[in-house]
Amino acid sequence: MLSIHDLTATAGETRILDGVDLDVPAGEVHVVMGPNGAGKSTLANVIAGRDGYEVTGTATLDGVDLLGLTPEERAVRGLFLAFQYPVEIPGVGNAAFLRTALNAHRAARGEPEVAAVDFLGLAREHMARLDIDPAFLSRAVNEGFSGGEKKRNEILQMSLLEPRLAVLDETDSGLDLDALRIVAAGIERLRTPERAMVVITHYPRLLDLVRPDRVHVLAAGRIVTSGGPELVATIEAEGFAPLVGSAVG
Amino acid sequence: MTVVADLLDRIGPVAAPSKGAAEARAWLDRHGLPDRRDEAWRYTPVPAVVEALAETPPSDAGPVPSGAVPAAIAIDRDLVDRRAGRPDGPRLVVVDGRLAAPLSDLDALPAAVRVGPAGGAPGAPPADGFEALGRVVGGGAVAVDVGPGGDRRLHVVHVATGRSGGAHPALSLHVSAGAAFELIETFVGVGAAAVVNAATRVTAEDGATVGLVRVVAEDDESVHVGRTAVALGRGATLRGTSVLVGGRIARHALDVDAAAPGSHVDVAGLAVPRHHDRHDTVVTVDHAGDDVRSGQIFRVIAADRGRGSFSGHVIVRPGTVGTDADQSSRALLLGPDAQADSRPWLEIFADDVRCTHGATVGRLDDDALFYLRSRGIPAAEARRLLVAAFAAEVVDRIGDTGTREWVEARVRARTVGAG
Repeated sequence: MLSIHDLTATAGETRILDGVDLDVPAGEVHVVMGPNGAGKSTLANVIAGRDGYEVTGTATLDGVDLLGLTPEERAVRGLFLAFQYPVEIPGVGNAAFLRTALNAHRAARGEPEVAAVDFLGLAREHMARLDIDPAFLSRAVNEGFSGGEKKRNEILQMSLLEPRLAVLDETDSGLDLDALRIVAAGIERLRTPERAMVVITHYPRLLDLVRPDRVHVLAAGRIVTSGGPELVATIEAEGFAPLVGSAVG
Repeated sequence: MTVVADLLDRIGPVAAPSKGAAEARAWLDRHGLPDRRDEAWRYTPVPAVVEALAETPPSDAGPVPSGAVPAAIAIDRDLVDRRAGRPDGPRLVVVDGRLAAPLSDLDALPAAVRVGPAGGAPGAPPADGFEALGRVVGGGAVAVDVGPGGDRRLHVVHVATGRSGGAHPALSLHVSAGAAFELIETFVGVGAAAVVNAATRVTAEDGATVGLVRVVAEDDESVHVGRTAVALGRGATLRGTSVLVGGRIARHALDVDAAAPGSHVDVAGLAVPRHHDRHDTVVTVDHAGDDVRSGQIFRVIAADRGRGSFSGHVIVRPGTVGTDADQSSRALLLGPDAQADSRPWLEIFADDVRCTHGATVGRLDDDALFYLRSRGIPAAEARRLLVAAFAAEVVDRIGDTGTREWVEARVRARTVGAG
C-alpha cells in the first residue's frame, strides 16, 4: 500500500526528514511517534503534497509515485490527510465543500457527479453513523468550530471520501482529550481490511484508544525504532530518550 | 476654450433646453469638472473620462445598422435577458438614457408604483461636474414614484450602445412614507465601447425602507461614472449594494444624506477590476441627524493589473448625538501587479459618536488552498471557491436570485485563472 524509501525533506537550509523508510500494508494501522521537532508533521505534509519543501526519495501508494503528483491528484488516488489544525474557510459552505470534494473523487474514477439532493442523503447517512450533528452541513467549513467539532469534520470527510490510505496528523492534539477520543473512534469505525492508516502523534494517550498494528519512532528525521504495540508501553514508561539515543545527539 | 465648453461643443445637448439644463450649465461654469485636487476623485482618472466622452465613436459603430432605426428597436428583450440576466419581477429598459417603452414592462408595474418622465425641472444641486454635464446634455430622465405598501421590486436595465457623446441616464426614485421598495439598477453594454455618466437620486420619506442594488457590468472598453444620492427621512432605512464588475474605468459615488433622526444606513460594495481596470467606489454618509446608524462593508477583488479603490467617507455634524458608524474594507489581490486602495475618511465634529473602521489587503490563503486541494478539489476550482467566498459577503445581500447568480457568474468569469 504505502511504501516510503529514503525520503528527505528540506525547508530552506534545514533538513527536516533525513531518509525515512516506512511500509504500511493494507488493513493495518501504524503509529508514528517521536519527540518534538522529530519531523512528524513534515512527514504528513510531504506525503500529502504541501509545497515549501525540497523532497528526495520515493513515496508510493499502490505502486503510484506520489511525489510527482499535485495534492489533489494524490487525494483522488486515495490519499487522505486529516489535519492537525483543520483550516477555517469562511464563506464556503460545508455541504458545498464536501460535495465538491466527493465529486472530484468521482470524476477521477469516471463516475457521474452526485446531485445536491442525493448528496444530502448520503452525507446524513455518514453523519448518523459517526454521531455528527446534521447542522454541520449548513455551516461554513470549520468556521467557529470547536477543536472537537473540527476533528469530527475531518472524520466525516474521511468517511465520505473513503480513502485507501489515511494519514492522521495528531501531533499536538493530545492537548485536547475530547478531540483525541473523536479521532480514535473515527479510526476504529473506518478501519477496514482494504484501508491503511498512519497516525502521527506525540502522545501515547491516543494509543489507549486505538490499537495499532505497528509503532514507529521518528527522531531527527528518521525512523529509529519500529515494533509492535508493546513499544508504546516502553515509551510511556521511559520516554523517547532511550529509544532515539544516538539519533538525537 | 475651457474643458467644459470644449466638451459640450463636441457632445452637444441632445435634449430641448429646459430650466434644469440652464441651471446645470451655470453650475458647471462655476464649478467645472472634478480635478486632481478633489479628494473624492483621487482614484478615478478624470482626464481619461473626459477624453473618452469627447472621443466616443459615432453611434453607427455600435450594433445598430448604420442609418437605421433608433437603438431601442434594434435591442430586443432577448438581448437584454442575455446581457443583464432575468430577475424576478418587472423590468424597465433604458437605452442610452432614454426609456425604451416597447422593451419595458410598463403594464406590469408593482402596485402603487408609477413611472414617468422626470421633466427638465431644476432639482437638487448636482453632486459633481459630471452630473451637471449629464443634465446639460440631457437625454430623458426617468422618474419612479412609489406609493404606500411593501415587498415590491423594480429592475432597471441601462443599456449603453456606445453612441457619440456618451449616455447620460438619470433616474429619480421617490419612496413614500412607510413604504418598502427595492430598486435594482444594472448597467450593461452591447459590445461597443461606451461612456456612461449615470445619476440616480433617491428620496425616502419617513419610515420608508429602500433597497438599492446597483450593478455596473459595462463592457471591457467602456467607461462608467455614476453616482447615487440618497436623502433619508426620519427613521428611514437604506440597504444599498454596489457592484462594479465591468468597465475599464468604473466609478460609483454613493452619497447618503442622513439629516433626519433615527435613520439606518447599511451599505456594501464589491469591485472586481481586472486587466488594467480602475474601479473606484466612494461612499459618503453624512450623519447630520441624531441617532443615525451606518455600516459600510467593502470588498475588492483585483486581478491582473486591476486596481480597486474604496473611500469610506463618514461625516458627523456638530451637535448630533447617538451616532454609530462602522466601516470594514478588505481587498483580495489575485496577482503581483493587482492593487487596492482603502481609505477611511472620517470627519467627526461631535462627541457622542461610536465609530469603527478596519481595512485589510491580502492574497488567497495558502493554507485554505492546500486544505481544499488535499480533498481532491483541483487548484483552479479551489481558487474559485475561495474567491466566491470572499465576494459572497456582498453578493449574498442581493435577494433576487436571478441577479445574484448573474453577478456570481460575472465575478467568476473575471477572476478565472487569476490568483
